[in-house]
Amino acid sequence: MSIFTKPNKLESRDKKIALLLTDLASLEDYINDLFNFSPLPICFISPLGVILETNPAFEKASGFSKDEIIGESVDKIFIREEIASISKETLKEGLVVTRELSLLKKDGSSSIVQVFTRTRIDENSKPIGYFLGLFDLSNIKMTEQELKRVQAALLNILEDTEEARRKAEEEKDKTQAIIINFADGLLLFDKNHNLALVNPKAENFFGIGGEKITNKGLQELVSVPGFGKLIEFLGPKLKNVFRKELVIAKDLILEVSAISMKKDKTYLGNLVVLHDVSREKMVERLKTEFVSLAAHQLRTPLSAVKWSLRMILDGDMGKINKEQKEIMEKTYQSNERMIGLVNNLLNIARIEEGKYTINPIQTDIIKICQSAVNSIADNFKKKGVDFKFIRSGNKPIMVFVDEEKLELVVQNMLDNALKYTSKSGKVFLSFKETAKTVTVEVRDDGIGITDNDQPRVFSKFFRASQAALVEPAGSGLGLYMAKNIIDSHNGKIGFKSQPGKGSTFYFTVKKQK
Amino acid sequence: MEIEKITREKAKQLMSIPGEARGVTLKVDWEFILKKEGKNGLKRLEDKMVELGYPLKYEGIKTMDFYPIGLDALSMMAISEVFGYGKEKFIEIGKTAPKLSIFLKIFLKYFVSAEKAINESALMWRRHYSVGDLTITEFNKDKGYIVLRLENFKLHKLYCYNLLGYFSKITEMIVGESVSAEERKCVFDGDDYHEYFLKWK
Repeated sequence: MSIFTKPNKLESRDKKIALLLTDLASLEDYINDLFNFSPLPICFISPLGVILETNPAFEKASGFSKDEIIGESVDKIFIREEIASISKETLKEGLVVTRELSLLKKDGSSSIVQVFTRTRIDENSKPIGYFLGLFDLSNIKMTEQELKRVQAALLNILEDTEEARRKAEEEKDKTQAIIINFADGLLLFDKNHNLALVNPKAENFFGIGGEKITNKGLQELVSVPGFGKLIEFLGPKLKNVFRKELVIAKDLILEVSAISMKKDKTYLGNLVVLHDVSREKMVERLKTEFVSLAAHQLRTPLSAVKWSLRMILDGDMGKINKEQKEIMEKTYQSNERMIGLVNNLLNIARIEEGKYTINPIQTDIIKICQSAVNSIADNFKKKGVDFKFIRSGNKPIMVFVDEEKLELVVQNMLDNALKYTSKSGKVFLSFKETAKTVTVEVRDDGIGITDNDQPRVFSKFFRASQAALVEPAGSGLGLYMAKNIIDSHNGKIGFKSQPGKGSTFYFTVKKQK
Repeated sequence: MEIEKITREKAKQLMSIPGEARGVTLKVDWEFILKKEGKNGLKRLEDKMVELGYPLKYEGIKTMDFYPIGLDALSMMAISEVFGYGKEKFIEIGKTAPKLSIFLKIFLKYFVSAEKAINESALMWRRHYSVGDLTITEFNKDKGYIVLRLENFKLHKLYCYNLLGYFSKITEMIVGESVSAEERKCVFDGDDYHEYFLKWK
């Protein structure tokens, strides 16, 4: 018995009331527990639209505590028009099943909830309010939106992928068309040096079907008749080459270029381009043969003219007056130039025919240069050009070269310096030595060579625009020949030039110990 | 308002007031303390009750059971002394009471309209208290006010504040609007009864 309970006599009725009260308290606890347990937000709303009861889930969903929300109008948590319609329908129909509403939360945000309601009636079956349960759709809505977004993104990706695939397909078709129809032969080796692709032109060069050589390694390919020559030429590592000639057969000369292909530093394979130069080579050969023939044919009459003129000039044919002598001298010089030109043409023809043989001997390069200087020194003096031959002491610089041809190179350089350096200009012939090489350098302060002309200076028959104005008689063969001579000595020839300031031509050859 | 120091003598005196109240009236007050002051606060209140010779425990309060009405007043004085609560706090406690009361669930059927609730107010009072008579002397829906009279009920002034809050909140719940409340007459001011004026609109 509680100390707060009256200490009077407990009659039977009081005992029953006490029991009922205990039962009621238990029932109350049960109702409270049930209500509090429900994970579903529930509230009870009076017909007047006042919230009279909420459970903890509802407090959590709305953000309002029980204190803050009980006794408040339902408009505080729902949009008036929306909840009014639900209330009306509930009180009329007894319930509303799944309707979407906006729940206005304490923090000012709102979320979409699905509500369902059921009226509570009194003993006369009159509604005394209604329970409202709600289900927060925010996460579902968010997921739905996210799914829509992902779906849209996926569709976009799919479209992009399809577009990319289509473009790749187009590119592939284009590339294939280019490869198939390419005028040059193309070979593509993969990163393992297996032949991955061969185009019809290349098949045609070697008279072999692509299926017989593709997907094969270098070791197998080297033994394929005809094709093996190319593989041997490229070497076991498929070295990079640029426009190197390769004679496959008597009537097939290919210009071969091979490059290793990389993308973002990743090695992908090697591409070999085969350009058929057989026809050009044949035309070139015929041309050279013609030039050689013509030059030979011209040399005999030109020599006859030379000696006839010499005899006249020397007075062997009788005395000639001064005026006649001057004319004959000019004719003689022109004939000399003609002979020089013919000789140059013959040399070029020999070079191109591969008949320009080098006969190297051990010799002093200073001596070679001195000889060239001796033949031209007077001409510098006559023109008034200050020429200096700079040597450091008398110690010879021994080289292993063809004396005659190297002198021709030095002569050519000095001759050019003389031609393109104006009166009172300066020309120097000097040497630069390293432990293994010697460089002969001819420096002038003449007209120089324009940037546009510089790349073609060593080309056959090329004459720089300024040079042609200053000296119309040049053949454009001197430097071409000089380059060929130095190349055949495995040397290096080059120049530096600035228009209006002069040029420096040099060649380098190995020293002989 | 000066906090009245409670003594065992005063406690005894309050406990001797005739009449009973349902446990819910105590329970909601103590729930308020639990919310505002936490478990420690509740413990302090329980200790105070032990000190006064009436060892009431929060968990032991049965909402449906009947307790001496003086215990309500004693509990309020203990709250006032332990936490320094005055008029405003007791009005707040009163306003919170309907929200936490299990009886609200029982009385839901009277909240369908103001008229219905007013008609049932005396019955609702009796469900809480065995003493005191509550009547509605005026109800003007158009002008928005109610005048309540409470007779034969004299516990403690703190209780008047508590009822002021309680009546104002209940009125808000039945009219759906915010209500201002005033105790116009009080037995502790020499009047014969308590009179509460509740106004909305």
